[in-house]
Amino acid sequence: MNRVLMTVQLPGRPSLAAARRKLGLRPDEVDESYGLVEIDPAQHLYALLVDADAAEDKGGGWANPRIEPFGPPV
Amino acid sequence: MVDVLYRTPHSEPMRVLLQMRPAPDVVAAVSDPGVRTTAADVAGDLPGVELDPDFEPVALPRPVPAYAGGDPLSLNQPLVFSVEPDDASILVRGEIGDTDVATRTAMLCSAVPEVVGVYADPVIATCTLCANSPALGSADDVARLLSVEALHAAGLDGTGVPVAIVDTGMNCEHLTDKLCRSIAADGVLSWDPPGTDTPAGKWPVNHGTMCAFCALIAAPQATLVDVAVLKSPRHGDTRLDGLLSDAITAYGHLRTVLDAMPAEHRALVVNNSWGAYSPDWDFPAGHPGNFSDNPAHPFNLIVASLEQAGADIVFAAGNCGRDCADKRCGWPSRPIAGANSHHAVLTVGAVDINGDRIGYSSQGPGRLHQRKPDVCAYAHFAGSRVFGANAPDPGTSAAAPVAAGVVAAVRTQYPAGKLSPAQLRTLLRRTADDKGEEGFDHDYGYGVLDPAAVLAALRRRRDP
Repeated sequence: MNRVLMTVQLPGRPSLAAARRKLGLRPDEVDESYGLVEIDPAQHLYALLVDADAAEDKGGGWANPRIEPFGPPV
Repeated sequence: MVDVLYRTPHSEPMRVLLQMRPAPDVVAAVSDPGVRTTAADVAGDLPGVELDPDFEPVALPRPVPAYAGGDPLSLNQPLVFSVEPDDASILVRGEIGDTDVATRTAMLCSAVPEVVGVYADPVIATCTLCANSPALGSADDVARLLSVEALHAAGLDGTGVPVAIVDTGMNCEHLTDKLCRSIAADGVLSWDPPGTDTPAGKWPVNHGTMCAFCALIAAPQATLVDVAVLKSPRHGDTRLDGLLSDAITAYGHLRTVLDAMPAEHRALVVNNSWGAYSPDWDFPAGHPGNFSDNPAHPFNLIVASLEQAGADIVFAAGNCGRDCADKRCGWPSRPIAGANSHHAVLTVGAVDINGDRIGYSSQGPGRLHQRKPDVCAYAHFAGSRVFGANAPDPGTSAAAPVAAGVVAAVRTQYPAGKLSPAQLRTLLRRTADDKGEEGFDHDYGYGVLDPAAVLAALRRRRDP
């Protein structure tokens, strides 16, 4: 399933479940194996991976584009 | 009589080729390899033209129809080329004033019947390197150009500085084999994507190994940190790709690495020779969740956060240069996108060992920050032999870690507490060897990385 990134601001050391609850997401809409990644400690900002449809319902997510090495050029 | 080049106050000499039809005996003499002739022998004195005495006249064959009854004025038919004295013409080189060139050449042709044509003689440059060009120079040449001996004599060799290679994973055995020495790598600080079981430093020989090799040119004592983001099993279109979410996780790990260092010794160089080849991989520009044009995207935020915490983040500009872009490039313009164009990273373009921009090196302006690339560094030299015995280390993929190695060398004695990442980027830009247009330009950025000038500036900083 296509997944996108969502971000959430939470104080302390939040759990994925706390982030999910704050965003109003069901457990099956969140990629548990990805978890919760701290983006900016100063802003208490975290990222998680979410089903694209669920993110759309919550106002949209961030692109999670493919990335590749720059080389060797062809 | 003296040749005079007539110019208006604002005119400059313009080099031209003059096609002459002198007497047949003169043509015969020019065509005879045993006879040396000069421009003056052919043209004498031409009004308003300064002949180039160093340009030996050249006989130009005349195209004539191959068959009787052919059109004497057409080139679109079978032709033969005659160098007979009655057919051939002679080319000489000279200069005329560049003001009102059309009138000058018409006047010249009417004044001197032997002049049958005047043609521009533009400067022609050597071909730029492209993907299929053979290697130019070696890693030893690059080490010399980077003044590595002087850096090391000053104690700047990367000792104790972690260099994270965010890529396809490294193969340390290949590195020690090609470098003929041991290397320092830290498996504890390294990061593997979830779902993989290859230990750090034991990945198949590929792009990441090349990047590690290039970083060690200037910083041979640096500690390599293997961050195999592009071996993520989350995406399966190619064997060597990942998702930006993997890079976010890896950067989160690097943040913990950085935060664990004592503030006074904090140093972490992060090389990124990767990116997105096409806007089709992203949400469209203007979409609130877009990455390429949007500094608020979570990856762009974590880049800013890691840099602020003291990491030097180096990104390749990409291989979508206008001269010979990688065939995978899908950007209609401005291919330096997303974090590759972030203001908090050093964006590196590629030059060859002669300091000439390589044709595939992406040009600015960047999508997040316009003044990109920041600098250029060397690439397309024979080094790691990752892609074959005679294959170059190509792309801005090689240029970025070459630059990252220089950054790591500086960090040996100048941790982020002494010289912030932003200050170091400014230093690298300010001391770069200016190329292309004067000052910043979108081909070379501020110029080619010049570690000797960096070293001199650091000495001035230490001993004002």
